[in-house]
Amino acid sequence: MFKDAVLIFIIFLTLLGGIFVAFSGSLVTSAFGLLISLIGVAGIYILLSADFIAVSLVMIYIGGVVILIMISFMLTRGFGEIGTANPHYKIIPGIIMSLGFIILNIYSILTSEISYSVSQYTPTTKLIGNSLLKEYVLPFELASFMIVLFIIGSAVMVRKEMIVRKKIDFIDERGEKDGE
Amino acid sequence: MANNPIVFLFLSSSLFVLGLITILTRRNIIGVLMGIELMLNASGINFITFSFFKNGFILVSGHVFTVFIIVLGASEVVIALAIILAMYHQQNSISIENLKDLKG
Repeated sequence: MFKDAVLIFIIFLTLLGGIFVAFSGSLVTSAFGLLISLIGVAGIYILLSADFIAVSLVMIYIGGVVILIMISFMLTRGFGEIGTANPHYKIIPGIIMSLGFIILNIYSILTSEISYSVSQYTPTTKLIGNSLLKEYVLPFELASFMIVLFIIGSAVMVRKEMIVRKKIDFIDERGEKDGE
Repeated sequence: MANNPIVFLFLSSSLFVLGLITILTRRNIIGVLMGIELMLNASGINFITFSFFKNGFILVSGHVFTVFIIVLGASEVVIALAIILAMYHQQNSISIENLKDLKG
C-alpha cells in the first residue's frame, strides 16, 4: 500500500515535469520541468529494482545534461530573436498527431495479453558489470569509441577561428545575394 | 498497482507523447533537445519494466540497453549543444526556422 502511494506520487511528478517541458512558455521553466521529470524517472527505476541505473541517471542526466542545457541557454541569450522565450509553432496539428499516436499505443497495450510475474529486489551492479564484459563487450567498446569521437567533434566544431571563418563566409554570401 | 506492468507502460507512453509534442511544436532548438531527452527516458522506462516483470528474476539485458541509452543521450546532448553554439555565433539566432540557411 505504501508502495502504491509512492508510485502515484512519482507518476504525478514525472508527468508534471513532462507537461512543463511541453507546454511552458519560458525555457528556464522547461529546463526545471526536465529536472523534475528526470527525478521522477529515477524514482521509477528504484521501484523497479534498477539501483545502478537510477544512480547513474541522477549523476549523468541531472548532474550533467540538465546543467549543460541551462548553461547553453545562458550562452545563447541576449540579442537573438528568440532568446529564452520558448514559443510554439503549429501546436494544433502537433497535438492531433500525438493524440493519434497515444491512442494507438494504449490500444496496443490493452489488447496484448502480457503475462508477467514480479521479480524479487536484488542488487544489479554485479550482473550489469558481468554482462557488459561478457555478452555486450563489443557494443561497450563501440560506445567508448563513439564518446571519444563526439568529444573531438564538438571541440572542433566550436573552435573560435572556425566560427569566425564561417561567419565571414555567411555574411559574404548574404551580401552577394543582396547585391544581385 | 505497483505490481502491474500496465501502469508503467502507460506512464512510459505518456512521457513519450509529451516528448513528441515538444519536438513537433517547439521553435527553439534547445526546447526540441529537451523533447528528445524525454523520449529517450520513456524508452528506458519500457526496457526496465519488461526486465523486471518478465519471469520471476531480473533480466539484466534491459538494464544494459538502458545504460547504452543513457550514454547515447549524454553524447547526443554534447554534440547538439556544440552545433547550437556554432549556429548561434554564426547567425545570432537559435530559431529552428533558420536551420534552412546552414551551408557547408
